[in-house]
Amino acid sequence: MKVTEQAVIEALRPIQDPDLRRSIVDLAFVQNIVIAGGRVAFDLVLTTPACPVREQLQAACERAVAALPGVKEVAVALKAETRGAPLAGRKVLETVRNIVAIASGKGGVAKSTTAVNVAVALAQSGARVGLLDADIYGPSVPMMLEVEEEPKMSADGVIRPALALGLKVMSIGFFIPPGRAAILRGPMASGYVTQFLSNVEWGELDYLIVDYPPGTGDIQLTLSQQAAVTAAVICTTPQDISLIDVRKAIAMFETTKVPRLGVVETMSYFVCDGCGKQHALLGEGGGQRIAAEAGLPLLGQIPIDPRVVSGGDRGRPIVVEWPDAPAAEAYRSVAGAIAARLSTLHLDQDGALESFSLGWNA
Amino acid sequence: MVGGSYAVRRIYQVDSHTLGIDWTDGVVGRWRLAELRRHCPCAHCVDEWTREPRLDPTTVSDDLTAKGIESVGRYALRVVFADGHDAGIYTHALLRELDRAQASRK
Repeated sequence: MKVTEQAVIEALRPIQDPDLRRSIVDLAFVQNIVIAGGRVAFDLVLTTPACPVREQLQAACERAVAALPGVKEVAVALKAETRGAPLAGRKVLETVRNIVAIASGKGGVAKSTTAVNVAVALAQSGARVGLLDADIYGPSVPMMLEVEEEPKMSADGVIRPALALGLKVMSIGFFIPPGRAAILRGPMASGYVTQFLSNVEWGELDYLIVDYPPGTGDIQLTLSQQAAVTAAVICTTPQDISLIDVRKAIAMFETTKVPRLGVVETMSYFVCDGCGKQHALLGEGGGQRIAAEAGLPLLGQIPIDPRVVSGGDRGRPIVVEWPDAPAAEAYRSVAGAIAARLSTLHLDQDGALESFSLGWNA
Repeated sequence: MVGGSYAVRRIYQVDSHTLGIDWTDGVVGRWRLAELRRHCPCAHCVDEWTREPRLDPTTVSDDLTAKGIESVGRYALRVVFADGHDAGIYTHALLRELDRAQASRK
């Protein structure tokens, strides 16, 4: 029996993307169908290379098509085309599809560690990723990443970002000698952030991860005004005192209308290497409570693992150095959840303009 | 939509003196530029500490026009008025409020 393209499409139609909740056929994931006798090949073009269910979708497609009469062999090639805002019309960062803020209400909640590991995990999945350290007063990204190429300033004042572990990276830490501090008034600090947004040659990126400074100050406001930040992820530790600050961070993004993707809880528990029991050293359920209160999902819980810190201190994030560690697994899962929720967000914009500039005819 | 119940879907010039916005929740807004200028929220026009108005509304011509309008992040816009003033950041919430106030006066 002859296999037709129509039959293949109808066989695939019932398969839904679990995040977008629509048929993969309607989402135009199925492309380039080639039928040669009993052999069927096609591309499955996902919305992000970091799709957490890519293998399941691939297997479901293979099963559905293989069940058609006359089909002897099925080959499904996984591809990805990251969805993002329309790039034209944006003033800064016009080659960046998604700008993701990693923020917290206070310091010391492993926000930079989360930003670094999520960025590297996204890059490991095949996405083009940049990492902007916006913490002008406390830059920690340069230390956490093994830099392969230092940033360069070209003659026309454009800064080429540093390269590290597959990421394009920018931080004021690259320009300050070790042991020195950036002692600046607010407008100067904001000025550096503006430079990093508008004067760095980021190139085409699927994701620009922005490591926010803690709190709700000048730099955060500059970022909200100068860049159309696609979405924010809020980091917190489990104890109640940290949740007070998380509420402030969430309120800041509400005020500036940046969609909140969810909450990441860090330092969630410690697994005893003697007995294997989970110990909640900083209390339990804080991330879940704040997420529920704000109507946001809990994107993940990162266990305490000394290797997160020791790897970070040597420029080798745990997702690179110990990829099988539970904490590395947790970071990858958070990265996947962020990518998946961003894809959903773009289908849900209701025709909203990302940014605009209107000339006036008087 | 995620991140606020409404956003700008379309922004356009209605006539030389009037700005129009179609919001994503179906509401259509109209503002005379002179009215926007009179309600400028910047620190020159409103005292930052006392919220006392510092701008005399009668000094703004009814026929004020603009040079351009641009978005500020995802939550606001900036108008470059023909008189050169461009310091005010008009949040979506403020625009909706001014539009409602204007409608209730009619």
